Amino acid sequence: MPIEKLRPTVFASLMAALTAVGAYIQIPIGPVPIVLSTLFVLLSGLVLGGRWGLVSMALYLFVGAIGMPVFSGGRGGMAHFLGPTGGYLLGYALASWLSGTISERFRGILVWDIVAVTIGSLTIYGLGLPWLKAVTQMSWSRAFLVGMAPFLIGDGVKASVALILARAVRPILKRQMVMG
Amino acid sequence: MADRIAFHYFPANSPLHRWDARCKFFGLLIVTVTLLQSKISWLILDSVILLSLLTVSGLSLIRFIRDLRTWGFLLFILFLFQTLFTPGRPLPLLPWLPISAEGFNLGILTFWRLGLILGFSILFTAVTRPRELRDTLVWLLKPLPFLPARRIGLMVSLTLRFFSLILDQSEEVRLAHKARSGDRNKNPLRRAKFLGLPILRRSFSQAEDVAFALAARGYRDDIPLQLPKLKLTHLTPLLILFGLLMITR
Repeated sequence: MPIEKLRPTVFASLMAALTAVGAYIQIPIGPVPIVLSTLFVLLSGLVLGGRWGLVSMALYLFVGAIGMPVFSGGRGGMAHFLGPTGGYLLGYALASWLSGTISERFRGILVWDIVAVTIGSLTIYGLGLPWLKAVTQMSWSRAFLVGMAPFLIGDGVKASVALILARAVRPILKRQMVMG
Repeated sequence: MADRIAFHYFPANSPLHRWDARCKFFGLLIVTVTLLQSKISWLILDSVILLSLLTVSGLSLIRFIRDLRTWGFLLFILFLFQTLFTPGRPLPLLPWLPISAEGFNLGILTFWRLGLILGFSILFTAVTRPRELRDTLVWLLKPLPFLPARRIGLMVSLTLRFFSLILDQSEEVRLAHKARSGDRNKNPLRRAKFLGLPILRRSFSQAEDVAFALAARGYRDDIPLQLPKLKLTHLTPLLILFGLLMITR
């Protein structure tokens, strides 16, 4: 198989591994903990693009589903998807695809990268919040207070870091691809 | 390279290393299911199984416990959280403590359960070659149509390999950063740049090397899978564990 086809395969595995490492850096503040994974979810889309970002997140979810402890706090297994944070996990794949697709379409333009990470961050809540509400039988306002409000400032920081890292890593990747 | 067992393969010739990877994989899945039940009897049995398997594997128990200590802090925070925020009766022996008996029990169970999940996963990756795990996944996914089974198997084994590499690199970069007094800067954005960027740069560089190595060795998706037939001796421990699970349901 040519290197051009193998490279995204390997890079998607790397992003899945980084997301798993991010899940270990967590602060438990309720049914939904603050985790660093979301940074790598956005970064995977920004660096790999929509399609491979989606592949990397699907891979991360698959590795967790087969029992490896890659979800927040060293959890793993299929049952984790049915728990209160299951929607957030599925949101990772959609967020990575969306942010990647937007960023890919307007490559190099900072404003569109900001739009991409904002939409990506909100997508995680778009799936996570209704799921949390359904599983825990909370009201919408309570679900918002527990599952979204405490994370918004942190998400802003994580999205900014994802942007900084993506814009620093892209030239390295481009150089590697030219040399390869 | 950090001196850790966690998510590294440790070559040896123990019965656990020789046990068919497919059986080990299903064994891990069954254990995960038993742990989700949060029954004390299963937690005790799984703890005994883990200790016995560790002894059989020949891995250093001290290093194994030292590895788990890294996660111990995280598990302890989870324990504290569940203990402090679960409503219920005060502890009979220490009623002045702001924790409930229900919260304390729940905290202990969570700590124990997650510790066991981590322990079994670390043991699984320590005694299973990445290639064996890849072949097991290919064997499992092959019957499903439209799925590139070999590619998925490769990606899963690469993800686990990168996972341990990133943990090693993070430790190296953190120590290098600390040696240069970088830890005195508390700005999260600057810290992320000076810590995160070297880790990312190294990781992508290593990933590029892996991609070249795969291309140089002529990696192809369509190479047929050659796995030996499952022996009854390999299946027996699995059947016993599955039988126990069915009885206790």
